[in-house]
Amino acid sequence: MIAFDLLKHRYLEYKRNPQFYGSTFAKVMIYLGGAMFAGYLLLFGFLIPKMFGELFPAFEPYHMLGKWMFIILAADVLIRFMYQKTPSSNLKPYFLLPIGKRKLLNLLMLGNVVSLYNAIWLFFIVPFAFMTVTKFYGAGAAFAFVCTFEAFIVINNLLYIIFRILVNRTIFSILLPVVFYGSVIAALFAFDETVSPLFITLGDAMAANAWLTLTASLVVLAAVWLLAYKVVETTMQQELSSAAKVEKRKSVTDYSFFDRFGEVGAYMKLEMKMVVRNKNCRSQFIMGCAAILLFVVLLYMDLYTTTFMQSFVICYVFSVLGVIMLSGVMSYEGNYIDCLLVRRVSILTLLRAKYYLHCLFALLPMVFVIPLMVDGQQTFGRCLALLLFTCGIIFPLVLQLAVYNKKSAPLNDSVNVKSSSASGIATVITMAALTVPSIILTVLTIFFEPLTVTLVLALTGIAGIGTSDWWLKDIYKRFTARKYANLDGYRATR
Amino acid sequence: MVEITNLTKLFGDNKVLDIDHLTIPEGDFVGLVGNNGAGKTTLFRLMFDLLKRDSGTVLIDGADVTASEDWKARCGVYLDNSFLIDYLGPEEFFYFIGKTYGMTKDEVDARLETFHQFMNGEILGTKKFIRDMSMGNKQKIGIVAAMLHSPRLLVLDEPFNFLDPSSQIRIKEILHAYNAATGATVIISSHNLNHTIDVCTRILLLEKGYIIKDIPAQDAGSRRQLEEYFDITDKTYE
Repeated sequence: MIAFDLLKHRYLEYKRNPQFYGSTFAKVMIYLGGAMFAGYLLLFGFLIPKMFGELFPAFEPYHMLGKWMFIILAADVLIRFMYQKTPSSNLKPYFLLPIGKRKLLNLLMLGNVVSLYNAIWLFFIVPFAFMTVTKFYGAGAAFAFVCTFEAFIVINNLLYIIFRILVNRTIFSILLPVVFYGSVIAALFAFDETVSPLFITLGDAMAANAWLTLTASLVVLAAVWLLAYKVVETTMQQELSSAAKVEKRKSVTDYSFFDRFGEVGAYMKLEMKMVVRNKNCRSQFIMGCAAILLFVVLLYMDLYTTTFMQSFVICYVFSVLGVIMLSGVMSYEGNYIDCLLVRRVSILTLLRAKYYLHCLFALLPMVFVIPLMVDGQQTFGRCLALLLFTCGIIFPLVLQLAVYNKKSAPLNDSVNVKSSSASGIATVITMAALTVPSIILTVLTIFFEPLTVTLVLALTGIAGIGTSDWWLKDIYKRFTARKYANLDGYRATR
Repeated sequence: MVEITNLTKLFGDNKVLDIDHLTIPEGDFVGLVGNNGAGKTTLFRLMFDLLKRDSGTVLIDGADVTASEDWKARCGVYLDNSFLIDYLGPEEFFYFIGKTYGMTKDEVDARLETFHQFMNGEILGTKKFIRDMSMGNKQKIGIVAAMLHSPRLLVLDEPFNFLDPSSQIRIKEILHAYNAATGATVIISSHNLNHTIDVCTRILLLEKGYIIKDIPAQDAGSRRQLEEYFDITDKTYE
């Protein structure tokens, strides 16, 4: 049966993912991570009913679950953005086979929806439902409660498909999920007395009118499915037909400014062209700039009053662009890695060029924070110290991923991509790059004078920048040691 | 120029390449033929350290390719699209490649002039990125880039693929002239026996990873031997 085959292909695609295929350690880590996540959900499933009961004695726990449903769904969609693929990934091989397009797309969407990730939420909701709903409405209602919650998770999965596809097409679509989830959550906090009862009623209906609510949620699911189908179909059609479209440009910018830097300059030019001329790299750049702007606005509005949060946000302002763009280091180059490897020490030169160019990009936040400096919220010295710290400490940390990234990332394809999930080590390094500097800054700020903090940041940054040739060579050496395994991965994911 | 000893490659338990000993002296024009999966591309990848070997050595000018990078300056390789940086325009790509070999723009321009006819006015000055070009033109760009710095060892994997008939003839002429004029070693793989026999001086026949024949191409019997091997002698079909 073709449906079974297509679902099996999805499973095999996941199972044979080059990031962990053949690596027992990677497999163990992934399964361990999954087991831990499930364990935590199970723990929450048992603990939260009791906790809610104590904290909100006027309500039943399922009322509170209803109230905060959107926060759960927002967290869920955020996790999906980090790990989940779109159903149209790798659709091309099937497109010309004698399988009806409607059937094909529906099966691929089904393959996406029946993921283990969606089922993992059962670890939370089953104990929750049977501890809170059964005593009032019986086991049948608890079962329907669980089904309704899972239906919401699947609806969220479908919404993610829509958002992801639109974001892949144009980065500005990121505003859609931000506005969708953000506005409801903001309303929940800003107009608690008006909005909260609506969601509490939802929680109540999920338990008290369990079967009716389940039916209604299934109707919504069907409607969202149709919408997602339409988006996938339209985007796929446009992407397939655009492959035949040949672009001819009136003028092509050469970035000859970099010519003066010799061989490194040639690679900086290459890097610059990669960022500007390829949709996915360009989107990362725009997203990074948008994130800087957002953080600056948040700081400007004085929303954060604690040292901890202020440290976090100002660190992000300087590091977020570099972390976003460098976390995929060498993945885009995976598409033409052979071209680089048959030329002398080109990877080392490329790494140097990347580092220098991103140090230049790191100057951008200095422009963004001018209002904060004028406002007196941040001093020039502190901002300069953070810039140096970013270039000298954070970038070397993220550039370690050049050793571990072994998947080619599509430069332009947004829908028809083979794979998009990040490896475990990439996630760990990225998270470390985003959090550790903020923690260091917080600790320093608590224990030392502002001037001392600035000096420590600046000096450690300068030390990192000063030793850049050494650590870049070290990255290159380790990249070379893992070259064959990485090359296999790059080829498998082109 | 190239010396291969005890070179083996396994994918799992499957041995895909096993070459006891192979020497390709300077100036040879070698054609590598064999059915799909014979190990032609694997051999090329191992020759240039793009794949991990399970045993053996590949020496280029006496130096192990895994031990140093000195050979890179003397070699030109084009195996597939992964040798192209497709978000560059053709000129940008050639200038970039030239720069990695220490060539100036003028030197690159002068060298490109020699490929003027081969490129047929469809590549330079088109203001297109490589990704927007046809497979044939991408193939031409890859071949020209590999030859740009006049390498002493030129290796092309299936250079006749995607090319129109006149371009196939032209590339044969270019490769033949390059080998004759510079004394450079040229190694190509191809499924086109006629082209291979026409242009090469020596033919290596690969079968399941083993070199089973090493024959001079100009020998009158070589065509027959190859045709018999590939089972393409004249047949009468009922």
